Amino acid sequence: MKKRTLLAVPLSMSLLVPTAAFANDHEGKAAETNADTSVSTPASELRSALGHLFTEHAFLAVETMKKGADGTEDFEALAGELNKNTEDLTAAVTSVYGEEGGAQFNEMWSSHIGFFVDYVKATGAKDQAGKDKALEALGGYVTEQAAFLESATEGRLKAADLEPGLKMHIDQLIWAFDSYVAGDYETGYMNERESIKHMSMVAAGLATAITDQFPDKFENTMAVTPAADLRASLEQVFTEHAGLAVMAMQNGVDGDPDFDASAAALLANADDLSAAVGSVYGEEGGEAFDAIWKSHIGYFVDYVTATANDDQAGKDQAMKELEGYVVEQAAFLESATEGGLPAADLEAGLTEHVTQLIAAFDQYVAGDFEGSYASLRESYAHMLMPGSGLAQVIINQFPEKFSGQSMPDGMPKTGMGGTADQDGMPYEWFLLGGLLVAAIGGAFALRKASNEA
Amino acid sequence: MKKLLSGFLGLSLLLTACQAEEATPAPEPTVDKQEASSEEASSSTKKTNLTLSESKLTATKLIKDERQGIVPTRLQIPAINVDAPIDPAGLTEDGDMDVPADIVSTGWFERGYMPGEPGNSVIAGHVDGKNGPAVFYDIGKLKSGDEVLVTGEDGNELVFVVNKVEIYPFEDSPLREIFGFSNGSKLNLITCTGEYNKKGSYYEDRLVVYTTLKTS
Repeated sequence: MKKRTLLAVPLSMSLLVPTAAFANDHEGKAAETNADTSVSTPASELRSALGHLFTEHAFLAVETMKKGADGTEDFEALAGELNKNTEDLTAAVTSVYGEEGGAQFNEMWSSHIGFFVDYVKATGAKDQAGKDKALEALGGYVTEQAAFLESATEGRLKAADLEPGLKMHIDQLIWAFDSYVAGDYETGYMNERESIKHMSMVAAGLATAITDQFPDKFENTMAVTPAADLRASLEQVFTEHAGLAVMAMQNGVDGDPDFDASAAALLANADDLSAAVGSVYGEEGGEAFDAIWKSHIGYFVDYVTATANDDQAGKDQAMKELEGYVVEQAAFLESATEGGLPAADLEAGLTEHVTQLIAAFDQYVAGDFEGSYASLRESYAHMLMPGSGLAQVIINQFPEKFSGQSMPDGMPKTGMGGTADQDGMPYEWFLLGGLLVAAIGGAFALRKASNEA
Repeated sequence: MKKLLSGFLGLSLLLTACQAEEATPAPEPTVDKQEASSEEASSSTKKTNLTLSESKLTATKLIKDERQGIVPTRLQIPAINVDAPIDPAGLTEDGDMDVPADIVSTGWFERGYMPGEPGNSVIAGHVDGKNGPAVFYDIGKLKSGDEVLVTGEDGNELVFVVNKVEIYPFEDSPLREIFGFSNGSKLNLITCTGEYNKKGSYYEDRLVVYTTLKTS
């Protein structure tokens, strides 16, 4: 097959400096900056943990709201997982800001989920006043949450910067939900995807503030570096894949009208992933990845079709196809990463991914909603692994793309002293204003006067 | 099958401790989605055949962060009569931010953030030359609310508003706050101030004017 030749593309690139050699280049001052090419620095771990939970929050919130509007019997189980996500976020906040801070955060964060539920209820009751009230409450939440974060980070995050971001989060969820209810599923899913992506940036901002606030705890590492950025974006796309896949499979077996839109959202996610792969391994590498990756989405759809038709042979066939996919995908990635990701490890990870998604689906079909949504969260979290793993391997392969220093080690030398002789403290004289037009003479006179006084 | 809204009466609300009581009765009970679909699935006459379509999604409205950075070429600060070109600036051999080549133009730290995108973008300018004042001589006079205008190479103009002015020792400036990531779109102006160290030919302190993108 054609793809075998494509696999050779990355092999032509030379294998490069090991990471250890690099670390030495940046001893001293540069440790303070963001030229660190490890994806697993303490700061990067924090950003990843926050990104995981924030993006998952957006995803679970939209899906829970939709289940609420539909009044499906799995609503409670999904809402329960949204609560567990809140508990996990609270634990993360508590680990940084203590019990009291965590409790405050939990109360505020839970309140906004409650207001979303109010909105869904009012929508179900066709109660415009109720919807307006919920939106007003969400507006109040924005102010409160922004003030909390500014205070917790001791001004590193500014309420004025946070408010537009929080407002966007709310607008995105409400609009995704409204569109779904109105039957405009495409708009619904596209905005759901935007809301997930948006939360990734929120995590970057918060992780930056926390690591700056507690530099010792994070070994002076930075949350936003080219390496951490790559990890964050791969993790966001990989985890989103798991979430969207679970929902598309449900929609398929239920014969829901939004199946096509949810499957298209899943494929759009695959396009993002392929584009990322293509940006590193070239267009051909990206296309080869795209074909293999989308094949597994097709096999999942085959499994769903067979389930809907009560066709055991069809299900078995789909499972066999998925097993074949695992081997093919692992071989592709091993080759592309020049062995950085060994096929055996990849096969284990990919098999787990397949097992988790099939479990979430089978449990859903069997009516075990709690089990199903626990599997959903597991599969979402599991996808962090390929995200960080692939990121590190790519960086090891192409270190020069990620070692650029995007912060200086020191401030610029923006003065030559031509106005210094007249007064030791030029800034002080700025305050004297008008005298400066004829700077030299005026300042000299001033200094003389004060010396003689 | 059109999805119908259902009431929430039957659902226990786990989500928050302080739910308001359901004020409005729910509309008529809805079609149960689970039931409808299992009927469909068990119908022997109708086989399900799901396929993936390659058609792309479109949205009537997409809510997203529209902020985009610009490659800055011109800086205007009306309050202190500054109108200067902006050139890209990189790093010195020591890894410090480089400075503009002359005293009338300013330098944008090209390796960092672009003005307008989330993050702290930085433009530095000299306070003086060898014989007199330079382009950023007066930036210490700026006050909260003063505007800073930046024009990009694409002709787009962004307006930033001064938040605060700070002075730091040269060796002890908060680099992350000045150059690092931020959810807000920031532009920070840097120049020299403080004592002039004749031996080392540098000023002891740095003055930073912090500004934030004005949102209309």
